[in-house]
Amino acid sequence: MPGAISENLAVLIVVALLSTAYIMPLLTKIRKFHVAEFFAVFMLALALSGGVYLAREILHNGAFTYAVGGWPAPWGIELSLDAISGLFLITVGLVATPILLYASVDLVKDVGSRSRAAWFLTLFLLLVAALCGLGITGDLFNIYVMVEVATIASCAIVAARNDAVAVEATFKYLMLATIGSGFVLLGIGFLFVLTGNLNMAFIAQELSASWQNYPTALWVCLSFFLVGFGVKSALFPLHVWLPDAHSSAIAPSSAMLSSLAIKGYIIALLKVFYVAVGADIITRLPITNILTVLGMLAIIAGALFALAQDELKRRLAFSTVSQVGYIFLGIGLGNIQGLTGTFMHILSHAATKSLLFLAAGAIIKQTGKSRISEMAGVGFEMPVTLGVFAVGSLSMIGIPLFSGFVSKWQLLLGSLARGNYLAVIVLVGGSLLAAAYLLPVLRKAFFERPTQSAAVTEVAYVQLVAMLFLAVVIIMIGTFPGVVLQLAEQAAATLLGLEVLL
Amino acid sequence: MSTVLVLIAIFSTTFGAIWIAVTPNEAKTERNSVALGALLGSAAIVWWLLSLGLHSGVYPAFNIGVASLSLSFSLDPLGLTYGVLASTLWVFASVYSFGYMDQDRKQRQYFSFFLLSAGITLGIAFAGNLFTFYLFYELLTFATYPLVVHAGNKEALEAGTKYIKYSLTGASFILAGIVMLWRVTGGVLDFGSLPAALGSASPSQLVVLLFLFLIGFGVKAAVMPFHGWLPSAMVAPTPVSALLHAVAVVNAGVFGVLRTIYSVFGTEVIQSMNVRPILLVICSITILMGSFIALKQDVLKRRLAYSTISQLAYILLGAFMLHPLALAGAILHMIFHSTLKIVLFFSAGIVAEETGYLKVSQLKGVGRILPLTLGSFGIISLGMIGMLPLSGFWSKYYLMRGSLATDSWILLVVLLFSGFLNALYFIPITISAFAGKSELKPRQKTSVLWLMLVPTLALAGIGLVFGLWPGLTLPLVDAVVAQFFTL
Repeated sequence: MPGAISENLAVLIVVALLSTAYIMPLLTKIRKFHVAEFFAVFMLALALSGGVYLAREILHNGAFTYAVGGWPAPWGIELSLDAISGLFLITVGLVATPILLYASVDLVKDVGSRSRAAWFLTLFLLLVAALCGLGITGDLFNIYVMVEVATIASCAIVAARNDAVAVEATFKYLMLATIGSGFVLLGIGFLFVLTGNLNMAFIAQELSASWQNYPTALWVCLSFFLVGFGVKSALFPLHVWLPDAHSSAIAPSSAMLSSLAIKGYIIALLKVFYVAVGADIITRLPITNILTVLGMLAIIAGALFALAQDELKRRLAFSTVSQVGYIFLGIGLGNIQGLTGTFMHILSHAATKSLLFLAAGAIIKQTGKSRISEMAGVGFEMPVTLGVFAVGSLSMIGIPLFSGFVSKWQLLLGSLARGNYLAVIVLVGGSLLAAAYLLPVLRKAFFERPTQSAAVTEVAYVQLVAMLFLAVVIIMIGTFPGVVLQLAEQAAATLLGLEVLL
Repeated sequence: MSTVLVLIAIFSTTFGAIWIAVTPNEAKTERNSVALGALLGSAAIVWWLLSLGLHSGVYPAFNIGVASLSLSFSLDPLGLTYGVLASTLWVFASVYSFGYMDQDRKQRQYFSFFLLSAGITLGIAFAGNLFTFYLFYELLTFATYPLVVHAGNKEALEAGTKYIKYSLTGASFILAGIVMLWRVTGGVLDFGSLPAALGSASPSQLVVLLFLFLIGFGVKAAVMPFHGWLPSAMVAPTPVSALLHAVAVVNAGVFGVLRTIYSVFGTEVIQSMNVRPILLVICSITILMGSFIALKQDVLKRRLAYSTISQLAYILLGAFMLHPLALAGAILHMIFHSTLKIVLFFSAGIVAEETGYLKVSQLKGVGRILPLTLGSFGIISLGMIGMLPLSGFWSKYYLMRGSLATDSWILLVVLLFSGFLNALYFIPITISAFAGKSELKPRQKTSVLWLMLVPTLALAGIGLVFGLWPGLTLPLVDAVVAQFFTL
């Protein structure tokens, strides 16, 4: 790669995605709209390869920082390229590319018109750019900007369908997300007042020297962050907006929101807690216990809610609430295995949940049935779609050879290392509950006779390819976790300030 | 070389399954030859590996993957026993299935999963560490589920759900156990080095670990009170019931218990834990309760299912006695019970296919219509009771010697009493089948009867051969006992 590009690759990824986003509306003038869609997918794929390249650099040569515009911190914005960024860039690229590929087939029909479709692409790319930005930034205010961009973009993506239910869900989402942003901003304000800095590395230096002078202020500030990011990432019991928003959007939006958007806020939370404030301080405050308890509650409660849903997309949405609990549990455990599990689960759940949502969208679209109880025999009509749904289900349950097992295994080790046996029971129980809410879908689809035999066919080839790609990703990570697991371990080590284990 | 052979043995059936899955439903000849070819090939390799191990003491062992959790395969006499047993019986069951499923609409699905389960079972047999074992054990549940619900009616689906619930719950106990073991031993999960690595564990940790594993494996081994799924799962097609629920799946549970006791903990650790009495009591209860409940069952397959529950507990009883003779009895019983019980299921299936009768009370005089079928049922059921000249006698004989050698005469009483109960629920079936007069009119026998009859008779013959020359199994049993006890 030419030097100029590879040196500035980190910022180029975000800039390229942003500029692509803004030219999308212009491309409606082109006669074939698919060209615009293909261009967007191509840019995402490019961003993915950039992410992979950066991750390789980071694994081999260690983390580095990049001063945007040549202005060094604390005056300029600093990007901090470490294993966390590498892993999250890969996650975003790996998942967003197939989602957009899937969306491109029927986008105009789904959202109403070509101009709306173009704006949808703009919002989608903005969201991806903001997520990438969250992954690489090392600056608190930059985090806030990216969080706001991501929030507005996700709200608008939910509303893209333009029907009453979606708009209502969007409004609910927008209100709660804005409250969340308010809390985040307050938290940032507190940290700025306490330390006089917005760069996270500088904040960490300041705080480690002087945090004992004002523990209460720090404590309040951290709770603001917890509530703010908690609302946005649907941490139980702040999840109330999620099921409506994620189930009423079009399938690619649901996939994007459930698998990636909420993860961006979790990455932001991790950076604030472990990078800005520092592992040393965080583990001494009871906030990790709160996270552990909330995580366990979320796992069980989300799964129980999911069990009660008959509508497939709502069931998947509540499943996200439960799976986010796994991620928070790992953060709460605060040891190397737990955090490795968190990072692995961010990746694994992103791939798995997007696959499930895309497959659900395909089923609903081809059969017109959105309730699980109506789906008898669908598996015979759409074997590939239901086949990849089965892969997703097994990964979600945490069966070995699928990616979900790798993260579950790390979380289990983390819980035992903490001596937290309750967490072990919750984790194991959570996967049983996942089996209870996902396997009935497969049973209905594959082993019950269809009620009436209307001619139902598979979705378009491109969409099948998108779903198969995600299924292959899940199986590859589950079977050969090596490099990804190494990256996740290094990310966890970075957070804990440990020597990088190589 | 042998590494490749082990992999071929495990995965040849997987390729067969994929081949069948993409073959049209109508291509019966192609499907049947692929199925039989893959199973025969895999069984031949396993037999060859067994003879290699027994004669030259070479047991292949290898790892796949470099991460901390790697797939590890390591053959040993115990694993080979189970592998040979499963892969051989699978061949017979496939031939039987060709006949039994002849008119079925979903043969493609049936044979795909039938082959898939065969490979997975070999994976369990040859697993070299607990993680690999758990992987295949969990996969077996999912691969056999479509076979259990094959009929697709409400009853089958409910039974399937029950099966999944029991199995997954059991498996999660095992997973919890494995994670805890990983903590305790610092990442050692290999069967070869586990007993030594457990030396540093505290007594309370050991007790928790043992019970996590035993509850987990106990579900598939249908130990009471975790046996509920087995009788329900009898709604499956008969060759599936025969193979999976009398041979492979339940024996996977039993094999898991054997691995837990002998390869994970080792006899010395278990001896020191003082849990033997509790385990033996649970087994005795299962033996007796299973037999009592079997007495009251009128549906033949359910009676056989409860008999299986009772007989499996014999094997566990032998394993828990921690004595060379008892272990020999347990291994013999694993082999002999499987080969005998599969004949009983096969016969019950033929009766159901040819006459439509499912209940014991309907069987009056059927023996005159299907003399060979009920003849082999009658003879083989004597083996279940433990009579000479059938193989079932010898395994019971060793179990009894084991109970005397460990001064537990009460177990001898349990075994004798259960044998008496077995006689009570088996012999009347044969008597009424041949003595009474059936109301059934003689009719045309189905053209594929011979496909079902041949494997039944062949296995019945094997039961007799082992009964007359029990020494045939001696090298194998010796090797297993020598693996775990220094004599």
